[in-house]
Amino acid sequence: MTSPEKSELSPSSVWPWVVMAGAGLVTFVAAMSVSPDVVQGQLSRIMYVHVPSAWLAYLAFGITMFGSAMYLWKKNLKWDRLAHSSAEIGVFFTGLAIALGMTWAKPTWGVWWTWDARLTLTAIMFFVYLGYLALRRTTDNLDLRAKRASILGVVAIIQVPLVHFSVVWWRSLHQAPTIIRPEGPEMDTSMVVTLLIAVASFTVMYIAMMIKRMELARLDDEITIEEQSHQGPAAGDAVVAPDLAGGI
Amino acid sequence: MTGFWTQAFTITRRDLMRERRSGEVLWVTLPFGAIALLLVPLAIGTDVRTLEAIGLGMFWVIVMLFGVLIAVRQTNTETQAQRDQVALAGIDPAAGYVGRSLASFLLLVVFESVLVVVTIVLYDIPLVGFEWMPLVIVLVAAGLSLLGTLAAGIVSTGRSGAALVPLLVAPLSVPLLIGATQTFESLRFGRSSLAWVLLMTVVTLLLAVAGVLSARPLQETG
Amino acid sequence: MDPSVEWNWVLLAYGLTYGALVLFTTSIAVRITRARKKLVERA
Repeated sequence: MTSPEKSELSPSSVWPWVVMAGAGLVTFVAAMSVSPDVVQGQLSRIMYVHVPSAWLAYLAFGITMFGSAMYLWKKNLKWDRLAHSSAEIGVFFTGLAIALGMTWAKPTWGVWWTWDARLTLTAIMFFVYLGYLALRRTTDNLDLRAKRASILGVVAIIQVPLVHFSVVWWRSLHQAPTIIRPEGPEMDTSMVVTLLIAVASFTVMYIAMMIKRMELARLDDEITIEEQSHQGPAAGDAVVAPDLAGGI
Repeated sequence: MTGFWTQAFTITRRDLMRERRSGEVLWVTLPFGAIALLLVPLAIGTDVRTLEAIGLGMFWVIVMLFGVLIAVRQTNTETQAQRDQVALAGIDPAAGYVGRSLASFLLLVVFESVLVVVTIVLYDIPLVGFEWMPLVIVLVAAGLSLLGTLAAGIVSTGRSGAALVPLLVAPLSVPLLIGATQTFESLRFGRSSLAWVLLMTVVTLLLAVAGVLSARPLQETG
Repeated sequence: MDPSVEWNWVLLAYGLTYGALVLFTTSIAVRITRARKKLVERA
């Protein structure tokens, strides 16, 4: 078997990284140049990273569920790679959204955690992600892993809306309808625009990260296939062909 | 070929007989749940009003977390050879799923019924709206057993730790948890609990559909 | 709230965000490099 030269592996593109850096810069500049909120002061700037992170947490989750359904339908591993890549990126942004929520809540409300519906749902989603990733670690068989993970993904599609509904309903009974949103009851136009810029930039970041993460997923799958195809003959060296040329 | 329900009940009978031999639910899981209820006041204090307020909630949480062990246990005691034997016998995987869920359901009803009595005693729960308790126990047992059996089927043997199935089940059991607790909360405040009961019913039905549909794919090369 | 205290929290939030992003993307890049090396060695 000929060994592929390194040049046979198509070069790993750096453009996604460049785009990511650019998007990050755009968000930072926009968030720092907008004027602070009248009520919340400088703390309002946290919203421009917290809200986009939460948005991506949900987007990535949706893509994971979509990829899972597509894999079960088409049986093509690229859909499984899509689901897995989105899950890993999703768990990152979910964790980030929660952490940022806490850095906003503590100075604003004096508590690290508020049990409002959105935050509680984000926390639950975090654990669904973790379960998905933990499940993938239970086998190296690509098809089995993809099938199991995809079925979990599809079960999540069915259950998560119910989880969402039950939590929102539960909080609506127990919370006075004060506006517990990072952006406050009303936002003036400049803040809305900045927020949209931040959300758009983060979405671009997500796409760039997905491109690179899926490249990694493809490489990992190739390595696994390589490793599994290099299993020796069943009995190895224990069986030696008989010497028919000589004596008995 | 024997009918779907005959196959399912055969599996249910087999699972229940396994439980009779090993006594795992009765002698291990149930005491474990009971001692958990005992530990809570040791940790948070024995103020009567506090315990009364949190008692039922603690009960349902313990049902969700420990009850799933019942569904897992049923699946974990099987070896691959036993699983293959069932498949070769031509048992419809969906019937197998239903049968296993039914066995777990019955065991969960017993589990919940005993533990609710323990809770009422230890936490001095006022019996407001308890005419709904049998229905809620049944709905929770159904939903949890369907979810737990499905999750156990997804994880199957594989390289999994003991906590993977409970980890998968816990977030998805939230509608059942909230439905059960809010049923009694709303009754306490004189509101109708019908909506919460409906929520749990919908959850259970959807889980049954998901479980039945995924039974065959999970069995193939499972 | 004192603006300088507010800025502390903002800095924490942005430091966390960009720090975590850098770490995560570096991890992906490193894993890609390792995987490519491994593929070339294997075949």
